Amino acid sequence: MDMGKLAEAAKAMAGVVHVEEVPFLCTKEAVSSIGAKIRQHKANGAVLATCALFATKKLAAGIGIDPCLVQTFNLREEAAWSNKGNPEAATRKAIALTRMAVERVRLQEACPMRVMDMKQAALVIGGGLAGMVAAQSIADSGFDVHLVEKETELGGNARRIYSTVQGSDVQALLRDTIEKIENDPKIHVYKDAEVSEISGYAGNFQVAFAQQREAAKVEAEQEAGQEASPEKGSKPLLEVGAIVLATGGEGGIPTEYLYGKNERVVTQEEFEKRLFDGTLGNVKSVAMIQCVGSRDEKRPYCSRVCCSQALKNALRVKEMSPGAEVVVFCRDLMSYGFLEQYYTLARDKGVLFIRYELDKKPEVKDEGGKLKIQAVEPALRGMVTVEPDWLVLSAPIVPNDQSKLVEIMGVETTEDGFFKEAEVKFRPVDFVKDGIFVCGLGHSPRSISESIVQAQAAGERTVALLSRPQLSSGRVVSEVRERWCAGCEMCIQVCPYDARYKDEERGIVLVREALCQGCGACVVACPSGAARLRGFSDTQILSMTEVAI
Amino acid sequence: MSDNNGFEPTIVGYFCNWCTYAGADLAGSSRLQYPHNVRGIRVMCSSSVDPMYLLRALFGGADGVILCGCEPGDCHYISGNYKARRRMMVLKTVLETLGLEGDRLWMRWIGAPDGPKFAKTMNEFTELIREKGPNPLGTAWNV
Repeated sequence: MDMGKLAEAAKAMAGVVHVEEVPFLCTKEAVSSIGAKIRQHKANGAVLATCALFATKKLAAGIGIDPCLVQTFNLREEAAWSNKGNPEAATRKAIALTRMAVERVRLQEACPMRVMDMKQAALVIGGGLAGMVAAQSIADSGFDVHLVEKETELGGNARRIYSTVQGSDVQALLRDTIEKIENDPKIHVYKDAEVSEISGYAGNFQVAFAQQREAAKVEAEQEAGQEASPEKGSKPLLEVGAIVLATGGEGGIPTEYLYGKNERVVTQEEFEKRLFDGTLGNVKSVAMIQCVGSRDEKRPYCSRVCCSQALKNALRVKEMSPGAEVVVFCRDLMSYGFLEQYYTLARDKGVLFIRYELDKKPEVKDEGGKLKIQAVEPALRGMVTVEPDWLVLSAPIVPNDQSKLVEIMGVETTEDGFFKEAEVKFRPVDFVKDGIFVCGLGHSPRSISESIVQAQAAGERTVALLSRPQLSSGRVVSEVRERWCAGCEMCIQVCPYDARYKDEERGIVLVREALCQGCGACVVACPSGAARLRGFSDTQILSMTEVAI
Repeated sequence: MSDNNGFEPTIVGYFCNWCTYAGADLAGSSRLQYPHNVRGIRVMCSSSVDPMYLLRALFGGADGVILCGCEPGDCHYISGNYKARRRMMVLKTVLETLGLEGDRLWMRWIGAPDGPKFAKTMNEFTELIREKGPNPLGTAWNV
């Protein structure tokens, strides 16, 4: 490439006062000398014709003028290296690219960063194990946490789990966790409460919630003719910077296999309770059916924990009465990770596993109060009959009804009704909407230890957000030419980040700069040209297009 | 070098900051050769490219215009590339309805790690335009 020719052409370009070839632009000395040159020539912009963009981004910040007035482009990759055999063409392209960059910087306006206040507290919705762990991890970093639980006590599903397959005591863990939560001065627990309204955005949410029983009490008092104090009936209002959704899930209720019709047909959860509180009595024979209401057309997902739950309960039965017969009808036994050892152990102890296909489910009959199960045994290629004392069904995990939160918060759910994260690998506990995080069964079926890890992750993400004293916008954000805006709200519809809102009084749309990620979808959607993207304005792009041709 | 009386087309590309521009970087740093005719303009997202820009380029005399964004499902801004795709479909239909050449306008998905695809696409497009010859709008119109 002919650098001399490029420099000569650049000198002739509109607005260019100084052109210089710098041998090692990456060095500190070079960067500061550019700063000096800019001041000397009283230039209000610079073009760095350099190499790959990611490497030069930081250079711009070091020069000492507003970084958005410095344009860098990848001269090396786009012109030199991609045209190796043709130096003349490379030079021509280099001149064109330089001219385009000069145009861009010539029409660039300074773009100061805007800062917004951060409310340094968090809201956790859901006081199950996941919610509590998230709350604890946020409080441990020194932030106030408001924990809202719709039931009258904390603990959620963990209250009904006694032990894990590994043998740890869940109830003890739960007691410790609740005790810590309730005694932590940073954590404010609101039981029997449900969030009713949420407005605002990352760093600045306003949350209203109603405490069911309180409200009922106030009403009762009013009916009894007593004067209720005015603030009692009103909804408490919280101001928080971030929200964690730990709304949880629950065991679905089976509709097959005589559940609800025969009292000896129970779910794994109910069976576990009997195993641990001693109401089971002497067991001679137990049958279990896996994937009841899971992995079918209606609920295509795997509920993940039921296989280890079945292994746990089967092993427990074998431990209590080694002579008991335990038969598990399963489709695939998902003993993932190190759980395989419990599958091996169960088989060692004589638990029978019989596989069934979706189109040949086991048949359960009630013969005078006695259960009778008939199923195809694939290894024997014949029917087997089991007459168990108990039939235990592995019910699916279904998310709690989240439609109200989805509506008031604008978060996304999957087809199955679970909350959907922004990106499964890079942002696994974030929502697309900034400042809202997710953990627990509301997101996906998961074991206790998996829930805890996810809750800690959500807690840490929250802390990362809250620990910034102020929220600053990116430099490339959209803006509104207020006089041109007709308030048609097209831009609000296309914005994926909720960064635009209507100022009803003035009838125009405004931008929440801290939320804007700078995609520019609004610019194209705007029929009146009122929406602009800083650094990528119409005039810049069009004038670059012109010089490119 | 060319079949069309030494015609060297001018091609304007609008490349998304997160995927295609990085893909172009990669193509260059992998020393993949692609035509010098392509002049890339970095935009934040394919959805921020107003159809007007593309029309201006065509009416201003560019022989080909290519808009590139992230692969479907991979948009940095969630759904920007789909928005761009809809607009492009409409724009192409409009162009063809008016009797103008819709195939001077391309839209392609090129991800950040897809340097080879970038080079291949640019070669294909340049070759197509070179065969088609100069854009008649460039001389017949002057908008």
